Amino acid sequence: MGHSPALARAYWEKAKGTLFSGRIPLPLKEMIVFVVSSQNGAKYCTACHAQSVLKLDKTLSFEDLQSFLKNDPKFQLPAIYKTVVKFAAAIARDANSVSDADFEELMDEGFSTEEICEIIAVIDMATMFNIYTSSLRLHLDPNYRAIL
Amino acid sequence: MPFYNESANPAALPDNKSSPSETSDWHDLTAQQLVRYEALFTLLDDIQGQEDISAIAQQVTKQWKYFANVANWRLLLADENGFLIIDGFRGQATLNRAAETELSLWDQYHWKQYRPTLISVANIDRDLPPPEHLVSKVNYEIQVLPLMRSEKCMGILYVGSRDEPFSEFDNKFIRLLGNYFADRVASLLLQKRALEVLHNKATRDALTEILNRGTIMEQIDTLLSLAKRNTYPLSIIMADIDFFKVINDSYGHQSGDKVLRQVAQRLQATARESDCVGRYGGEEFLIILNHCNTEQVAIAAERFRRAVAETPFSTAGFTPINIPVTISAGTASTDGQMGFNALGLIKQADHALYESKAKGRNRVTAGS
Repeated sequence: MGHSPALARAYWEKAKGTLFSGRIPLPLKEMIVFVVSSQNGAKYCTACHAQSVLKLDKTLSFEDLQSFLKNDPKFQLPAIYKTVVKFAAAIARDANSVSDADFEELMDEGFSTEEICEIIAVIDMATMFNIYTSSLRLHLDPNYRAIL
Repeated sequence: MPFYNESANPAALPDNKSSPSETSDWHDLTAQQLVRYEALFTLLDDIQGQEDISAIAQQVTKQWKYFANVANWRLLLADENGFLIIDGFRGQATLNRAAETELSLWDQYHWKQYRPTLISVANIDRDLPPPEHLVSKVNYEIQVLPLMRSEKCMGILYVGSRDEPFSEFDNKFIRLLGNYFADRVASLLLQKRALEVLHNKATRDALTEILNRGTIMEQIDTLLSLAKRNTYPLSIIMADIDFFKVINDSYGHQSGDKVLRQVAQRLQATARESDCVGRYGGEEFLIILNHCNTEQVAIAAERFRRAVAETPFSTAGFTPINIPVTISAGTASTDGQMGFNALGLIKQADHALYESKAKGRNRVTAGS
């Protein structure tokens, strides 16, 4: 990205508009990025955003996130994340697969349509960075702990 | 590690004698609440910065789920006009008003009980169904929280949990926000009501409760300039109670006041919504009729005259007396063309009124 200021700007504007503005709290957004990145097998983004999640939500530990990725039935994500995370993972797998019922479930939980659009935009942004970092095989920064 | 550490003892606050495990419990507890506090504070700021109750409710319904496990809710607030019901679900809030008798069985029951209750959605009493939006597919239980202020119940808050029971932290944050939210809405309602009272005091006549002279004179200027600008007709009626001095002298001033009030009320009740009825002086009334020409005002004035003359007035009391009352009226109109001001119109109507009086009272005369 260092080669093209225009490109860097485009990526940055997308991140700014989705991750750093809007109504949804940052911990939930970071969790979405973490889940989508792991779904996309993006090592760099998954590690980086696992770190962000842990920094923002002190109730979760590195081991919790590991258990979550391993689908350990003993570990349950907090209610705040559960349905949104399920929704994000489903979209990352196949955006065509989400049905009206998935939207209904989120709305029953109290999410407005604007908030659901914001969630989709965060999923989309995560995927954008996932493709970039994975194809360039970005090395992990020494201060990130590998999780994938 | 569980997210909401139910087993943690909230009493284990750090002090000089606390063991390392108690201290780490406390750190744990604090850490677990940080994310929630962050979301709560954002919302409290938003609520504080808003004066519109509906906008506040929208913000609450969007943010609540982020710091407590709340999917949907209802706030029932009592004030002197009945109840304000705010429902939050699917990220939207709706506001409704209801009298106590119009409340649902569920609301009536909890309003009378004012006891905190936890209701499992799986075991709902069929005879006492909760509001539909509190029993969506994701709801696990409903918490009923009466909001007590100096031993009086100001309202009830119902919150529905999603998927699982409310945790100790949820309850704490629900009470924190619920009380703050209810107080903010209640104080805004009170503020609105106080403003209304002040406004009425300033614009209404204390005895008859119709517009006072200052206000009706302002109204005539405003409406007349609108009629001129858009060239449509406007008429006024000056009406005066016949032999009011005789009524005062024979039945007493208190009865005289009652007659004044009742005449004002009958005129107000007979007027259309767009008409303005005001007390011009002692027993003299001024009525402004928007979009009303010479022919129409003649019919309207006759309607006002009959409304007073057809039924005698009664002084409610131990032995009610029927007092026959009539009014005389004079009208004046403009077609909206230039050349008329408020004083000119009033003068014309006043002349017509004197003509009615001179011709024997209880009649309407058109000014020219």
